[in-house]
Amino acid sequence: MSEQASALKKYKKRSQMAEVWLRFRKNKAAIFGLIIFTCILLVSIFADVLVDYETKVKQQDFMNRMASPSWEHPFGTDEFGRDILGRVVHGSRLSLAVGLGSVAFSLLLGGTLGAVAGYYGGRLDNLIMRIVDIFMAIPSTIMAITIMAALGASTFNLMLAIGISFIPTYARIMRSSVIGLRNTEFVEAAKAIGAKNSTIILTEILPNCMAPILVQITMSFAFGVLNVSTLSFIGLGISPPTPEWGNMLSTAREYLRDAPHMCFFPGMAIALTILSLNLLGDGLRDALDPKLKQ
Amino acid sequence: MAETLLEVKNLKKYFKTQKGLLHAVDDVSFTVDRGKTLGVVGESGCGKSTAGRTILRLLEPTSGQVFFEGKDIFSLSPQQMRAIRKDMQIIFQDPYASLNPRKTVGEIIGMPLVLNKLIPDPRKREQRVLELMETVGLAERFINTYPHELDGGRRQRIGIARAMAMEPKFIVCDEPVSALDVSIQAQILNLLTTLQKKLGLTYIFITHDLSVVNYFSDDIAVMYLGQLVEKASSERLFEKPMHPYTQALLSAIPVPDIDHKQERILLKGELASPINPKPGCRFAPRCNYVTDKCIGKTPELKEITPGHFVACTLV
Amino acid sequence: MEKQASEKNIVLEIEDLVVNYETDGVVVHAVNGVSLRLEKGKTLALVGETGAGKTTTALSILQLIQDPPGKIRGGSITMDGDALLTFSERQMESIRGDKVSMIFQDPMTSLNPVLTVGQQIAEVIQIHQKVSKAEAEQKAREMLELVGIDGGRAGEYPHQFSGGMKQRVVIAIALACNPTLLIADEPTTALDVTIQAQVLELMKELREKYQTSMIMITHDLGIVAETCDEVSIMYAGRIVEHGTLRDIFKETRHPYTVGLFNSLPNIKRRQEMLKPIKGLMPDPSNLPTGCSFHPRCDYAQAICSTRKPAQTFLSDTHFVECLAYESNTGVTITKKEG
Repeated sequence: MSEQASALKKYKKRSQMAEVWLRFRKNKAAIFGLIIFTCILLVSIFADVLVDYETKVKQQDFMNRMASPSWEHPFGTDEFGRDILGRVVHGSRLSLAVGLGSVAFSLLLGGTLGAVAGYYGGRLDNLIMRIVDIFMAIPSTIMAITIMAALGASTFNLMLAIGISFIPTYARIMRSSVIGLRNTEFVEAAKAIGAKNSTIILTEILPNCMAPILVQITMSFAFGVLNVSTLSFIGLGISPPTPEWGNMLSTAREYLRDAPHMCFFPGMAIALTILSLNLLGDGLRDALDPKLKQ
Repeated sequence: MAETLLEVKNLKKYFKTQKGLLHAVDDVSFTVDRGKTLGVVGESGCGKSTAGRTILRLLEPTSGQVFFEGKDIFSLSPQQMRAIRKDMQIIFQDPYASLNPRKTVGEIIGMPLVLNKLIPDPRKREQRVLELMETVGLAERFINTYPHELDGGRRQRIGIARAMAMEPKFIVCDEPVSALDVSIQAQILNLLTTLQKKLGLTYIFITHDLSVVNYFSDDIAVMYLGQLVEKASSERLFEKPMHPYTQALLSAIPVPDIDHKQERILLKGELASPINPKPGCRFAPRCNYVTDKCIGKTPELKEITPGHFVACTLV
Repeated sequence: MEKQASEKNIVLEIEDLVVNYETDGVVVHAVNGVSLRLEKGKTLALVGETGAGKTTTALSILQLIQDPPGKIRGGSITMDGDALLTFSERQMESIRGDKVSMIFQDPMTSLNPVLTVGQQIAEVIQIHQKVSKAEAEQKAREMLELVGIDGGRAGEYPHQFSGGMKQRVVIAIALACNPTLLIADEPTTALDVTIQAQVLELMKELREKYQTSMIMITHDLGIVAETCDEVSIMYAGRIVEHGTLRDIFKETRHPYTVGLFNSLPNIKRRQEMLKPIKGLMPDPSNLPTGCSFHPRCDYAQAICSTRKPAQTFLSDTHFVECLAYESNTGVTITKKEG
């Protein structure tokens, strides 16, 4: 009896994530993306430990304005003599936080809407999807600008403004996955053993939609980071003196001829983040693709 | 007389399509006795699977009644329906599609027990799962594997174990062996027979494979484009098929015997789909004996000898 | 090694074919030394279950195995005196659809949805024969008529045809250049019984008319009994028993073949438990030693797990690969009742 009862523990399950990881690992570009992104993430988490905010980021040094990269200031200094390395490091925090927040917000809202529309179908589907279509029809940057202009600049509003533009994507992806799964036999089987609709959506359907959603998360995260910078660049996002890659670029633009390094480093930070996320997303897409399974 | 477990009365299930109303199941009536097997045969689009799913109310019927142990199941509330599902189960055709790829074998088989809160204690539940796995011939070591790591025969065993978990009285088997290789098919058919004998189960066995249905069923119902055209005991149907469609269907089975050369009745034309059908015999366009009488009025199912029903104007 | 292909009118000869699928250090032994010969106008059935290597064998004739991961690792395929495995891709292209054509299992996916059926038939004719477009289209209509479809429907698209009709179109494409060899891979599995009967009848007629040789891949012994002259039973990448229809159906020798027949529900013996073969097909990347069938065989002895059985000829036409038929192995098959 006792040996029987331990069967669940005796035969370890081979995790599905492990299989995905095996396939992911073979993709060199994706691994590169993963490493870069992990570094960026770690830097932003430990920004305070790495660079002291008060002395390195806020402190101005007029003797050393727009200094080229040197041993003391590896990325050089800006127009107030502040250390650009420190500002880039601390700037990552806001960009990543807002990117992540907007993704979470849109995933929750868009995903739920899409799942409900896809599962129940009919009129409800029509209603939800037409509203989503309206959002889709407005260019995302213009929508974000409008929202920021109306609500005023704050970190939370920024998340909202960027997140709203992702809602249609998540709703559409979720809906199409759910429709594909709604009529499968295993959903019918769950119904046959007496599962409620909510149980079916949560335990049968959602776990099987994760692959396309996961890929989309990396892609829209990248887009979110870019959007934060875009909005800050045009002065609607995070405004100076708080360091943010977009607003750093924006001010540096004026000194492009005299101090190109001021543009180069925040620009590189944005480009690297987006590149790494896109590589990561591509790798995930290949690793999760069930067609390559077997 | 044996006791009737299931009675289907004038069951209809129509689907709206872009071309019109598809009469997938059109006025089908039959009964199944406790402990017996009714084979439902027909070709694709004849409505056999739809009928099976509507009987279990996995699809909502357009009209008609289904009595299970005397209860009209279409009049039950969702709660009552969930309760009665314990007694009525289904085994699906495609062991690939009918198992959630993200769940382990143990989770799949245990799910009916969790959902219906039958065995709340996880340790006891696990034991029950292991018992079920043993019943259907799955080794204990598979409890934590995922369906895609197993072969078709084993996956079908998982599906059977899941259906058996709540100790049902009645199971709809929807082409349970069509996707399997011959040698595995025989293993699964034997398993279903053994379970029936041991537990007194009642089956509706849906298939397009006539040699399987003959082996497996007490009675056979033949469907064509949504309608029941003939129903009789298996011996009787194979000996004396009355409906021209049944005759053609039987003669079309390739027999693995080189001395047995049977005359084949070749049918004209192709299967249509029953969208907005006109009254009249639906088989008439392909029938070799068609007369004017066949068109205009749908033939009724008549009992020509006790237990043998045929719907054909010529009989 | 030039074979004298003309003797007995041999159309196709496969000698010791070995095909592997190789991925990440895992080698799947799909075909392990298959030899077969086919006479003109005859039909050979390749029978076996999923993973027996039937389709891989057929695809190697046309060199259509996907590489990677598929690799032909040995053997020779000779057709009308040509060693096909030495042919370049260019040379193969001129053979496919012309001298050898193939019918696939699923007519739904083997037709191009954006071309009319007439165009698809005409395309094959134009590739292999020097004819004008109009002539090819005329021939395409004739081919349609031949398979029982009104020639006027040549301008229609595949989705306007039903499953059985589509398979007829596929047959028309396959026969358009009057091939020497037709390979049919489960041509009726996706069809309904009454439609299957029509299609099989049509294939039989056309084959007799044009004296086409055919390899019929199937798992259905009923179809074999009705359409084929010779039968090769495949198991785990080898032909374990081969003979004429009568040899296989009446003088069944290999325990696997016997098992296959016993697994079929018999219309005459109802309500009797079936006698399935125990166990499962072996994993082709990890085949059992000795006789591949020994773990599932009721008569297996210790020697079966160490010694590979060789072809034992029981008559001119009938051979079997089983140690029970070799001398001094100590393996015997005791007939069960019935």
